[in-house]
Amino acid sequence: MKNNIKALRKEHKLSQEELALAVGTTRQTITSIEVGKYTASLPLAYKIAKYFGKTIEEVFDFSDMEGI
Amino acid sequence: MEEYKKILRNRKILYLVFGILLLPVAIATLYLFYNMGSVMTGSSIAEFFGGMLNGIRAGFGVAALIFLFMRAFQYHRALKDDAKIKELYIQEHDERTIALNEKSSKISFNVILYALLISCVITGFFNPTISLTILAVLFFVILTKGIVYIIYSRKI
Repeated sequence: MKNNIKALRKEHKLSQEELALAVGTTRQTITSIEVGKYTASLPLAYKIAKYFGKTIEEVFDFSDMEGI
Repeated sequence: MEEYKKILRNRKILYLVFGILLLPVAIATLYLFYNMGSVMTGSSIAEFFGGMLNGIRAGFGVAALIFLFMRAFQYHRALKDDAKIKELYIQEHDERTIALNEKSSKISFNVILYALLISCVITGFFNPTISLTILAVLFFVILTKGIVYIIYSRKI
């Protein structure tokens, strides 16, 4: 699933490690989400979106799931 | 985090108790390893496997002991430092790690199941005892899976 986490991270001048610690996960998980290898669970997606002050839809791109 | 601290404290005590209980067993396995030689005699193959079993037993005893005390020490150190507790909590509750474990366990289970099934059929042509033993293991594995599935279908 595509997302804007990398761009948002750069905007907030955050490292993957810092974001991971802030949302209670590991750096490896953030890396996998950013490159689209792993889809975050709803609670984690909510935490990430909330951390950046955005809605889940603004951070994650659900266009792939339309029509399912 | 206070709840997690309690869990860590309990785990530390549990690991220490198990470690202390295992200590005489590990010492006994080491003593047997260095003084008894092979547990089976009669031929060179029997002596070899007897010695190997002795070594495996001693190895498992010592490895379990090291694991228990290392974990207890790790929890003891983490309990003194809030940053370490958070790090440990994140490591244990990281959803990707949990997903990886679930996925690898699921695939491994299927591989083991089919391997047991195939070996049960093949060994049936040569040795009925081995075939029946594998069949018993197969039934046990399937039964365990069934019981766990029923338990979780009521939970989720």
